[in-house]
Amino acid sequence: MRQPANRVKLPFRVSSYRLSLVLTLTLASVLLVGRAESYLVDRTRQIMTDLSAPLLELASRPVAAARNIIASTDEYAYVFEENARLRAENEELRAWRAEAMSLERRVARYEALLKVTVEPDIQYATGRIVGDSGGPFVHAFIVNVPRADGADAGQAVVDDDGLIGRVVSAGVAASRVLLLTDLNSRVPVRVEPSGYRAIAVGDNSRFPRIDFLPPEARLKAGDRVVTSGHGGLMPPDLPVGIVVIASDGSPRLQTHSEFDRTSAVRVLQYAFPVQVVANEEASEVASEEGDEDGRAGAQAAVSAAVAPAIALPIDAPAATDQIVERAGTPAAAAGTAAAVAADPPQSLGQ
Amino acid sequence: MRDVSHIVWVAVPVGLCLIGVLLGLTPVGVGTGGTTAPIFALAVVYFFAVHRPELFPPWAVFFVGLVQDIMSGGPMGLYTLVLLTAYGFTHSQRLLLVARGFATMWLGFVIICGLAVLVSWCAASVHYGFVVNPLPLFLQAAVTALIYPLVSVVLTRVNRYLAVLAPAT
Repeated sequence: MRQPANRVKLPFRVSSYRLSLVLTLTLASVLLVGRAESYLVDRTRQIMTDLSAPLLELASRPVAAARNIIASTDEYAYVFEENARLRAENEELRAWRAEAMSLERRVARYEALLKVTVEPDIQYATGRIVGDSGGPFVHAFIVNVPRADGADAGQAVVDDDGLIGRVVSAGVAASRVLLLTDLNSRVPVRVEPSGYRAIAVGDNSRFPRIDFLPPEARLKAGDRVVTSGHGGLMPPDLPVGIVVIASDGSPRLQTHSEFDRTSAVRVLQYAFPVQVVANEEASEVASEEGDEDGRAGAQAAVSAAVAPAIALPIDAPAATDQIVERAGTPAAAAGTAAAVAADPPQSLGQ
Repeated sequence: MRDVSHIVWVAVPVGLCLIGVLLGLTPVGVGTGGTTAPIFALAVVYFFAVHRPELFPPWAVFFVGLVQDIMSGGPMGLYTLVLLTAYGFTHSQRLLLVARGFATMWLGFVIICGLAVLVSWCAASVHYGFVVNPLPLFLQAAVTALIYPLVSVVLTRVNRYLAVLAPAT
């Protein structure tokens, strides 16, 4: 009795399999051609990212440990060469430091004279990369900075070296970060020292294009690229990379950050400065010109307000502590504290 | 009753694929311009399409592809199409592959990886509206083909357990 039953069942199974395959193939093609990138897809993607974040974090720990071991082995191998290189670089940086401090004092004096208003300090949340999209079409990271820590779509994300991308969605456990190299990435930038504005356009290659330059713009390899702050999503003057010239002569962006090596990042909670904080400390300098302590205070106030968060190490406990440490002198530290403690709403419109 | 119990066993290949999707998202930190992670799910789909297709019906492959698309953040339907095409092609040729040695299976998988490159290149070009650079696809396919022996060891072991727990009819 079993034989005839199977004979009937087999053709049914084969045709049901074929029908199922054709249907699913059609559905997949419709999804692809129809560009199904709706709100529902975004929400599902974020929910699944949130659900998988703890698992990814667990899986990424041994990988991170292995990467650290490999990195430290590399460092041991080149410790002498690295030491010599750092000594030379340190000497060069000392000269630059002296020049920067002198310029900073001069800028503080000019700003005080002009009653320049400065942008408020940028808050940030630090997180670790727990997931990497890994596909050939998408260059994105999953970072364990949730919405509760202030992460939101559009915010700039930086690592030790510079801008790496922006948050595209934030959830209850993690956020997705679109890298500068992704096909969908567009970041307004400025090329220094010429000051030309442009857009860094990701094209899934290692070097994003630098598009929408004015016709007269002539860029040189090695020119610095920083965020322009246009559009109000990202703070201005964040280091992004340098200009490289492609074999076809077009300018491209070589990012300061090496995405393959990045493990910790910082999400900058920058709000478009509709209302800016008046530089009260600097104003005081105008009235007390020549007073050394006051100048140092103004200098620190400027530092506190415009210091790019990028200059700080990732594990810094708080931006203000670092600025105090970098300012060096007790007077400067006092100035910083005063600038940070200033209540923005009270000092508006000065 | 047999069909009901088999539907339950579908969870095994689907679960293996989902583990593969998560592994593919782990930030290993090597590659060119972002990690080029292998498509673990492609190896699982291929293996089950040859050895136990009744435990991995097309709708389950579709589900896995959808999850891969959502998690990777790429165009919706791309990996779904790649996995279903690979599944359909492998299933049609399974008599050539089943009960053969490992070398034949690996060779078959290399061909499937080539097919995956072709399908994803065409699909991505259609989706984006321009001819995409196929190099990252080749890299990903090469990495996927290289990890097959490793994945095969795990899958062969799982298949042995399944042969006892859910024997083929």
